[in-house]
Amino acid sequence: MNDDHAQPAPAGPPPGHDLDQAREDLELLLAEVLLTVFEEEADVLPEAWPLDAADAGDHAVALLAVHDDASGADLGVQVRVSAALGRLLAGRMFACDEPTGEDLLDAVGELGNIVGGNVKSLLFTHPGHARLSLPSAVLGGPEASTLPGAAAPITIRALVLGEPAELTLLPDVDAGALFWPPTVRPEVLEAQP
Amino acid sequence: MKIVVADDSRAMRMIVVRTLRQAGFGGHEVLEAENGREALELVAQHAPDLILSDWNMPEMTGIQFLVALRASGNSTPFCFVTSEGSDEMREQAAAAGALGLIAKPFTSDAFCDILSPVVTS
Repeated sequence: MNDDHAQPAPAGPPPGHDLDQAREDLELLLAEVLLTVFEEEADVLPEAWPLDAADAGDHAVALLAVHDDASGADLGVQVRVSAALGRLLAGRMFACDEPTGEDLLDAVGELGNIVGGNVKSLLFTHPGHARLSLPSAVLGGPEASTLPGAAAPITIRALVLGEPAELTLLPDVDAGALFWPPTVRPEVLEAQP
Repeated sequence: MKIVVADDSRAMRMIVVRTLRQAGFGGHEVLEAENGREALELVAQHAPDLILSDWNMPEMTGIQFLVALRASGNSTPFCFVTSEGSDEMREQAAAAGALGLIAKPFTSDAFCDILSPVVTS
């Protein structure tokens, strides 16, 4: 990503390197977001939950990344829900019975944004040196979307309304394909007439 | 009252408007913008009484929007509705002149708590 406006940063806790230690917090984070968004309790599933069950059929995926100015690394944030859960989410968000594909992508993107923002607040506690990308959402099978370059991802899986939802954090991804908000610092704007 | 809601997600704009209603703040005229730049233009055209804005948006972020607004001498009450609610961002928001920051996911209670002083029921 473009680091033109990055400021020198002190060494902070390297995000993505202690993800396993944060597993419990991440489980809680996912469960709380799902509870608030769907108004239904979500069951966080054990790590051994069979992948095949989650990977069957189409899914909607939201991709984001958190850029850490201190390390220069990007932590990928992938939120994947079944297409059925995505439609349900879109129906609730847009208050309609038959959401369009565009509605679904917008809704899943926003779910990813909420999760991503909370992940950033949880893991990037050093002030001022991490930025969250804008969400990018796609619909497709599990192969349809991921970020390249991830090493040792951690995945939290949950069931809500009987449908799978999962959060995967992908350390050290190449997030160049994502969209980023402008990085002009507020003080730059303030200095303008 | 006129309320500007700025968020790049159409779904979130709808949710914010719905939550305003649930919080007892329905019946106001709502103007929507997809980013800070659009919102800044809406403010200039319509002189709203309240602004609710996301932080992370394309073109112009929420904090850039707020800083530009205050730099122009506009003191319209401004509240962030954003997925990031770190202490640092809350401090930055307050320093720039925001009324508060409502973190997503939110409930109507959060809207009541922060907006009651400036929004009529």
